[in-house]
Amino acid sequence: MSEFGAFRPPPDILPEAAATRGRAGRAGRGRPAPGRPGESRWRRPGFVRLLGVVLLVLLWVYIAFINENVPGITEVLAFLWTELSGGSHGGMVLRGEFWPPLLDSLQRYAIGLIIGIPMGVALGLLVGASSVARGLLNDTTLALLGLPTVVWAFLAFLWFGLTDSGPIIAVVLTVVPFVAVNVSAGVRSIDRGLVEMSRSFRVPWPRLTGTLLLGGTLPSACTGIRLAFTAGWNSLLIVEWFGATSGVGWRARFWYDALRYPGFVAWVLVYVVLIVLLDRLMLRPLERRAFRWSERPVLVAR
Amino acid sequence: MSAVPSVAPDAISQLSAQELRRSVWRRWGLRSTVVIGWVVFVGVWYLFSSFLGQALLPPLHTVVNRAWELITEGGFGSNLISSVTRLVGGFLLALVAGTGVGLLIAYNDWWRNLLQGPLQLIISLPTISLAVMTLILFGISPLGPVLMTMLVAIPYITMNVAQGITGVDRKLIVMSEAFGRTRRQIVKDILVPSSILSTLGGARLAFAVAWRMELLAEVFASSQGIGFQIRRSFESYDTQAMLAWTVLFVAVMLLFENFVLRRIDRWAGRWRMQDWGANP
Repeated sequence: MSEFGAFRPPPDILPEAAATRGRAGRAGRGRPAPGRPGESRWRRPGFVRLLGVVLLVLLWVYIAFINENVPGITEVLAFLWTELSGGSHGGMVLRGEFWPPLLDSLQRYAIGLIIGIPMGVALGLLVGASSVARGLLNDTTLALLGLPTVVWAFLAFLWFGLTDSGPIIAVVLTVVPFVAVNVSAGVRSIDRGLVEMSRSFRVPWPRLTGTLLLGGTLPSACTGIRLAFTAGWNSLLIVEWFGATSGVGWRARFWYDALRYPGFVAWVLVYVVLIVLLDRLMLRPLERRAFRWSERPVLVAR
Repeated sequence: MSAVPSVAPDAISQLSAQELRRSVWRRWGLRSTVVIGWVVFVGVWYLFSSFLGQALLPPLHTVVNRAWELITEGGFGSNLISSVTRLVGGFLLALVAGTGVGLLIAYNDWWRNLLQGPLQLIISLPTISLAVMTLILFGISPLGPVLMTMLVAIPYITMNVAQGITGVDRKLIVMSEAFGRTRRQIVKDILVPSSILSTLGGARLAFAVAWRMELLAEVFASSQGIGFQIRRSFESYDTQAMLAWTVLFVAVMLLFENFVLRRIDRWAGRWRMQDWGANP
């Protein structure tokens, strides 16, 4: 499988608990009889999920307690509030800044994605459809995909210095291979028989492209784009950490260098919240939409 | 097997000879495109290096020379060993922990719901913040990179183990029980073989994530290893050395992923090939 399509995303939703619910199910943990009144709340999924998050927060509190370097949760939230409200950060003349770095980064991120995704799609279509292009570009793209992000970040910094282009180029370089790999896998997954059939039935090519190529490629392309969003954000942060004078990565580093760890952790929270929101509100629904056709049984539809 | 055409034997042999020749040509044509692709890649590299200047992107041959120097006298071996030791340590820990958690999740809804949040958090934490946290939590020590490598690898292994177990054909298990097989037999002959492919897929993905994390953790919180060397060359603006370290390490990792791990995959998936013919 030394070829395009080797990159699969992690399954985003944990699978339902074992299908082996029959007698074999008892090979696992004991499953008490359902419907026992006293226990029902402890088994409600929403409650248990919340419990997981609460335990995570408790773990944080515990680590902050035993390690004096780790800021506590209240410190971090207070710091975040100062950043947000533009208040003063204590003795120095430092004022809170939240929107300028965030908007700077989002702008770079957006430009990088707008350049990178179409490039990746084009490259992926080319490599997926033509075996000559595949031979020419497959290995080299994979080699570039293999390069760790931090090295791209260093190179972008060396080449472009402290400008906006460094982070943008790094985003582009991360996004292109991710999208290309998945788009080409999508193209190659299209059933050859369907193509042949459409040819024999003389389906006009606009419709062939629209229905078959687009429909067949879309799910895997969407997965690639979703992965690219995460990876691009990741590399943007790395580049901004090492070589930028604005942006969220720079801000986190600023507080880290000033030994104000609450500031650093506050910004990490912002990173996580941002990428999770983006994923949940925009990318997942899109992906589900793209996958919809493949789940509907064709013969019984409507 | 494709249908046998109903023509005279002579014609068949002629036809297949022709097709053979054509397919040989096609194969060599495709192989040559790969070579051409690499030649173009190298050409683009030289073009860029003349465009950006030697300091920013040294020409390929100087990087190769430098890499050779690093191997023979620059301490590549010792740095590689220290990086790989941590990587393998973290990865093995993750394999054990991830498999355990995966089994737990596969058989128990309660644990699945409990761990969903934490696992999602680990996946969505940017690697840079993990690397910096390593430094804050553990300072410059070998322990930090090992633990971070383990941490990032766990979700991938967990999810794939759980998926593998969940995907086992229930009917096979029910049937085995009906025929009075022991639990040990069921585990050994059904559960393990049918979930191992998904598990190994997860392990491969986890490995790809793990070595990148390990490298980044070394960039921040280490005083030896390849990551540290990359950072040192970056800080002294020695692009040549930086690229040489990178290329060497990435080559080792990709070779490992593509040959060793893939071979293990094929070995574990043997039963599939034998039983039902070549399933794609």
